[in-house]
Amino acid sequence: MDKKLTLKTDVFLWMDGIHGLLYDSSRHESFKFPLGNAVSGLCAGFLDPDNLYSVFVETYMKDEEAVRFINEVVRRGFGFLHCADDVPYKVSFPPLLNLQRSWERLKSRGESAYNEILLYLTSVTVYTGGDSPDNGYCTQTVYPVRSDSMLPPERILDFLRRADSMYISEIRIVFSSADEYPGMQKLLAGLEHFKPKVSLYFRVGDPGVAAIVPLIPNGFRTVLLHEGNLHADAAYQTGKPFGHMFLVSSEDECAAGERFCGRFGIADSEFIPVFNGYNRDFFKSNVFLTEEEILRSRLSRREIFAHQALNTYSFGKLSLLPDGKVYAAVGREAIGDMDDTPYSLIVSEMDKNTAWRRTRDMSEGCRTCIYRYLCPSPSPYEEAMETVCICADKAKGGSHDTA
Amino acid sequence: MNDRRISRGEVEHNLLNLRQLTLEVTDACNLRCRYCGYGELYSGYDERKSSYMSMEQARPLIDYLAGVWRNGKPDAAMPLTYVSFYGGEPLLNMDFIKDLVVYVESLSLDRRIVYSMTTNAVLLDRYMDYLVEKDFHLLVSLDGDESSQGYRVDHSGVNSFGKVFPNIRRLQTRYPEYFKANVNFNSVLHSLNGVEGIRDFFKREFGKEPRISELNSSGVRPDRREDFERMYRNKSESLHQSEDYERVSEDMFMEEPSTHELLLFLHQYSGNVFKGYDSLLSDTGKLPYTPTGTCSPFSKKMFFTVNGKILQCEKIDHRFAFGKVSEAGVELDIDAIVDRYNGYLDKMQDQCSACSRKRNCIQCMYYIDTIDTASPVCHGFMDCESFARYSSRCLNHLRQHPGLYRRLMEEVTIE
Repeated sequence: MDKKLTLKTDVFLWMDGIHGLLYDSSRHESFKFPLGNAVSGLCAGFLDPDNLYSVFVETYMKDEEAVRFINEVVRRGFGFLHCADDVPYKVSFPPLLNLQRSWERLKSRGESAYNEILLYLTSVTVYTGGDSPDNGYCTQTVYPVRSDSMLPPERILDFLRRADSMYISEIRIVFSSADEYPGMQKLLAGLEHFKPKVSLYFRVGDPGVAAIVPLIPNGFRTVLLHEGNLHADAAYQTGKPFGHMFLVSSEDECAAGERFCGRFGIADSEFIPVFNGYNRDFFKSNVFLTEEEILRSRLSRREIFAHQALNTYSFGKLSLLPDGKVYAAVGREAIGDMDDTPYSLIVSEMDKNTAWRRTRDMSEGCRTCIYRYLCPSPSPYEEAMETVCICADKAKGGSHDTA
Repeated sequence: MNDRRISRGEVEHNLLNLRQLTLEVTDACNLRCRYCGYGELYSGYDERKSSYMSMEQARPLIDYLAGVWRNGKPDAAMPLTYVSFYGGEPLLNMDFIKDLVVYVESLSLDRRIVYSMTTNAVLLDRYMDYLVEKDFHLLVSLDGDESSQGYRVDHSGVNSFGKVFPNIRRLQTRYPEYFKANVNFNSVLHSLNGVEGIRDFFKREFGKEPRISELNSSGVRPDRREDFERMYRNKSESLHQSEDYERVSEDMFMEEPSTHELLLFLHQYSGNVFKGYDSLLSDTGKLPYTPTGTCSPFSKKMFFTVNGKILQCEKIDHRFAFGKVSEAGVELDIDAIVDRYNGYLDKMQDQCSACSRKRNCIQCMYYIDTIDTASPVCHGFMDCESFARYSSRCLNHLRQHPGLYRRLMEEVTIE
């Protein structure tokens, strides 16, 4: 009776010519294996969707490596051996993402204009502009943008009124110099309408913050950005239920931030790494992922598909900069300006793909890597650091050949 | 309780993003098709009085919808709404249709309106120029060749094929590009035709693939049940009786019943199908589900009858009307709609929670004949055993036709 090896439906198979990787998205188990000729042939059979993840094994039973591979697949629970005529029939659904309303499909059918796209936009960040450190942090995370001009409150509010929908869950206003921003009260009054979604960001080092922050009406979420030497003397920091974001560029700064939180009883805190041009080692040790860390990922099938189709960092987010233009990612090309409708901005980004659908398949260093869908989506750090990926092994000049 | 109920906001959202407004422009018809849903075999519709819709009836509803559309923010940059004309036979009320089109065009709606019509084509020769001019999408009812058309008779009992076929041919000859792009066919399967014959006919004569539908088994009058059974044919059985089953089956692709069943199965259970980018970012499997497979009110369409009733679909019994247009204007109480709809869901809750197919139900609750009783019974209910049989049937079809997996995953979208 002919025997078949069938992989389970939740198992993904990736190859890079040298190694193969099986990842079970329901058990979060992985198995990396060398790709000899016979094993390559087996895997090629699995990857043909017409085979429904099932391959006859008789012709491979004379190859030692193939036999080892087959036994390991079964022993580790990634698949099972069975007779071809077994009843009930054994069938697997190879993971093949079918995105019904992919942009390519809609464009090919000429339907992109009619597609329900407003639900894609879930977050708007407004950078008011003004004086702030020119350290490049704004391309990496939420951080004020330095500029000569500032966005007037009327323009901001007009855009938000036009763009707002039930799908937007987050509106962030990032102030560069709080006391120099003209029309602060007007802006806050206009933001009352959006209050449940609004977060206001101020830099603790901004000299004007002390005067402004106490004046913010209750109900607005206010986030203080800490960086470098922490200002422990500002009483306003502990007066209200603020959120605190610590931008850390070293382990010392991390530790200082934790002590700060302990000292003032801060519960709502977030630690965000930032690249300052000199702390590559900090990133390699604390942000980059080793192969072991990648293999410890606990991604569902959906999350892996998400990594294949879009950028999970940036999808759905738009930023308004002091130049009046709109960006899907700060630092990339503009996709429109504040007078555009949310629809045209969304269509523009879907067409241009400056950020929302940037996947590892588009990254030169990652597109053939067997881990590319287990790794997080390309992040702004990679651009800031001018590196192709955040893989610790590759950063050391190596590869993933540690198995 | 982890099952969901609809909300007012959801119904308002559906109205704002309405995909189709279907108007029953008349209940008069120039044919007396033996299997007609408004004929002798069925109950559950208002008495046919040869009524004709007027602008006085329709204008308030159009204005109401225009108001909703102007005051909200739809999900699409340029929403697309089909305005569809239905009957009876809509070509009998062309004056109204033309007036309505003029009126809709006069409004600045900020959406694309596409007109469509389901017609028996008896009067197509008189109005084809206009239909082409306004780029109507036509669904023509034709059951196949002359003998297949035997149940579609005029008031004298004469087969309508002799009138309908030349009209269609004329349209095809005069406007070939329009015919290719805008004309589709619906054939009803019954005792006078078969799947293979229907398909061969349309391919040969018009280069088209028709939609083939079975007789509706819901709402059949008990005293006409025998006649219904004599007329009824099952698509799958008819297909298996084809002389060249494999060829026809292959040609039909997802119109082939087993393949269509497999398509739905894969969409629901493979874990590989996602509607849009947003669905990739959240785990909808953990969200509460709405019992039954019933469309949310107005999520697919709004149906407006010649008697002024507003329903969510033209395929359901008219007693499920949600509102009406009267001299007082449009009476559409959204809170009452929500309460009524949710009330039906409450009745189905116990059965649904025990059903193996609850998260992917395709049973419309309005087709449950006992839905208005205290304990309605859903005939689509699946216990574990029946679900296993259903799965096995789908997987067996897939095993026999493994190439379908790639095709269905890569080529097919379901709206």
